[in-house]
Amino acid sequence: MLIELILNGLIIGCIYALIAVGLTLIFGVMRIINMCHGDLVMLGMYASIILYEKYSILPYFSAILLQPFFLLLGALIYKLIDHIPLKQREMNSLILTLGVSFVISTSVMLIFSADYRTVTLPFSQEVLQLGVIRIGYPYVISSAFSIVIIVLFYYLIMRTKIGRAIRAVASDPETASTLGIDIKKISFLTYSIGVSLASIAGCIISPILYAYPFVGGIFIIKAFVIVVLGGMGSIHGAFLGALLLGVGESLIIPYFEHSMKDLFAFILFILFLLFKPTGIFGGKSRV
Amino acid sequence: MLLRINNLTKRFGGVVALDNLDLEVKEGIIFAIIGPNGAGKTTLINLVSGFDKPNSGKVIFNNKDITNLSIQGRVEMGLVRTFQIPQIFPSLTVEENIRIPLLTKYNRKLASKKSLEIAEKFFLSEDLYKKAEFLPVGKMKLLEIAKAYALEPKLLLLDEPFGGLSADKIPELISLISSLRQAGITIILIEHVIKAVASLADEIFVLNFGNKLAYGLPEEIFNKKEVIEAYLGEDDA
Amino acid sequence: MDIRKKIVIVSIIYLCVLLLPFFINMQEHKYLMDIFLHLNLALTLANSWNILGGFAGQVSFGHAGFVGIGAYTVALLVHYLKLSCWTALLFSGFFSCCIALFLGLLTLKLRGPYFALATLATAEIAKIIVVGARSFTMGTQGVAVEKTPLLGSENYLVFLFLFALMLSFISIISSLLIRYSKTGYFFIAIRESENATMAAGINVFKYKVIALLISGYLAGAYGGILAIHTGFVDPESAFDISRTVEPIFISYIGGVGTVIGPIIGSLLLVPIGEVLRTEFTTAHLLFYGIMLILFATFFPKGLAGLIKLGARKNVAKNK
Repeated sequence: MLIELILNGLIIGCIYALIAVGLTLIFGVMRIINMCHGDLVMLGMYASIILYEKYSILPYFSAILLQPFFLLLGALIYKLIDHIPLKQREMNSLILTLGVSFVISTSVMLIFSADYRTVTLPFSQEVLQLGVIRIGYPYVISSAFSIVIIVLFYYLIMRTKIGRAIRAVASDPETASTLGIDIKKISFLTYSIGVSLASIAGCIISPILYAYPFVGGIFIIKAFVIVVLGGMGSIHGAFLGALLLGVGESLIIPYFEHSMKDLFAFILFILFLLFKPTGIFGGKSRV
Repeated sequence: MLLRINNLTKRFGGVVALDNLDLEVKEGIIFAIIGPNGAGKTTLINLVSGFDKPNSGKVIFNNKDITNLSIQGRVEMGLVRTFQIPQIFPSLTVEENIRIPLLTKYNRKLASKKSLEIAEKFFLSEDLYKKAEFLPVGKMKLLEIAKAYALEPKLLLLDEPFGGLSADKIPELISLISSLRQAGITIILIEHVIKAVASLADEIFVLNFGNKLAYGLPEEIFNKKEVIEAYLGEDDA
Repeated sequence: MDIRKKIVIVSIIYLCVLLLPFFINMQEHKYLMDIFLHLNLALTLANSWNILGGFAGQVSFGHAGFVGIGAYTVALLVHYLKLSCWTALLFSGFFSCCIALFLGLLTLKLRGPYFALATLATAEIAKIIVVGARSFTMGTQGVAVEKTPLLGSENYLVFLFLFALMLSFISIISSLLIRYSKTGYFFIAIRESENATMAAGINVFKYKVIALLISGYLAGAYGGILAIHTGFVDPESAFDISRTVEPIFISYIGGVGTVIGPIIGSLLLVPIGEVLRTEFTTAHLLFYGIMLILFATFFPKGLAGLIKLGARKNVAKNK
């Protein structure tokens, strides 16, 4: 079913978007690549699995409930990044966040072992029937949830004073600081928003995908691909790239065996690096 | 003519930075380009030095069309630039900063020897073994020119060498740049500091919105009404 | 100190180590020899990463990929072409180099983080292809690497010891030669400022590719030795992510962008890592992570930087 495949792709794409948009925003504002982004998603998955198994809290509520914890963790990582002198930040922040990634993933591994885990909700097997189209309920709820978050996020970025400040810093930090925008404060806010979106994505994806300690690696690579597709630092680009990747992956599933599915993302990545390295929305790369 | 620019156009998205520009630079002179911020001066330097490609038009250096030549190829022909914000090798010493460009032409021994000479010429002898990132702004500006000079240019493109310099350092740099001219180096000088332009320039080209506004000898230019209106009136330097 | 003196000192130390098999019965001290082998390999990989990341400033997150490619090159050459594993070893670095060249042509013209991302992706692609192309690579089942006698002798441990020693020697000497040559200065110039390097008429792209090729060769050869040592390759072990992290970790803690850094780092950390690995299996990765955070944040110049600082303070005190 072509329509079903496309719809499934769009749903996964929405969740990818939550992950990628944080990554691109952090890059745009702070000029760093947050290597531990995927592990924050993974941590969200595990946290929601535990909360469901122990207290029967649905992952969709966990996504909200866990925010204070994730914001605190984000603030801690941000403090470390902020400690690196600006001149060395580009390279050392890569190494630092790689270290954080390892600490998070191996800690989870030591605590929960390397087993695959998922949340089986009471309605996990139920299917929404729309004419000829059939979609599993967990997919419907997760996509609805992520659309709500995306709308809220767009409102924050496009319509509020904070959002304008974030965009100003991303497009030109020098001018922004002469306009009296506190770059550090905006960087901190941006990082927090990114962490928050990643953790929400983790929570709502846990009924759909299997979690294991190193699953973050898959998420971060896909998020990178999306960010390059959309143009580094571009928010609209990240959304479009996420949907594109989601649909593309979904469409090739019938033709390839499962293990090769992830190859699609990389082939797309290489094609873009070859022909349009600045991405769909990227203009001139900043020197 | 050492440098000829024909119908050069550069657009960034919808903004036209340079619009069908023509200019010619004679050998052995200091050719100053002035104009308000955003007039396209740095864009011009980027196109001439190869750091950016034009949408159309030609750059001809020493009677050779270099429009599509690499930066490296241009440097080998003797076309060298500096940056408005000094682009130094921050955690290397001053001596190493000067030695690196020399290494493209000379072996290690000769490069080390020459770097000392150049450092002396640019008043950097005391700071030879200091890390470049810890230099004061004035010295950093000197280092930026010293690195370019080390490449033995025929044509040197200086992008605001006086910017950010304290007033007492200006005469020193003026005499230094004029000594480069005496040594036979042709110089294109982009500058906001009028005092420096007035005492150095042999010819002045006024750029406004990517177009030629005026061109001539310094005394002609400084008396032109439209120049004073477009540029000198709102000058902040 | 003059570079010639440094090369002589390194050579003398290596010659002394070379005599070791005559005094120690390798079969009896197998555990010790294993650590020693790993030390040499880790040092090679750290130098490989440091030449590219520390000198030329191009951070690689894909060294596990180069190692895996090297390991599979040996395994498949032995399996299909029935080459002696030692002959195949010569190709491992070469093939890894070819992949590195392809990657470099694709990404090194771009600035910023593209290269780091592309190396990460390349390592993943290589692993997915190896898993997926089951009919050729045996997929997750893995391939056995048969050891063949060399010069009529079956003393494999000695040969592996010698090859690993030779490789780490080559890596140190390369690192030294690069650091004190024109090429090395240009690498460092690129790391310091690409704009300034281009303005000096240096072909930035060319030198980045050279750094990547040297790095890819050493990492591939590492993979080849690894494949012979374990006698078996499968995707999980050949593309083990710790081969991406370990060289970064060793370089950073020893002192990134210095010749001595990877040497200090591996001498100190390999024994610790080895003990942690045998005692707590995955805990060594946690240890790597914590140390990376501490050093990247608080001591970015590593132990080499701290020692230098200490020495300078001492001198100041004595005055």
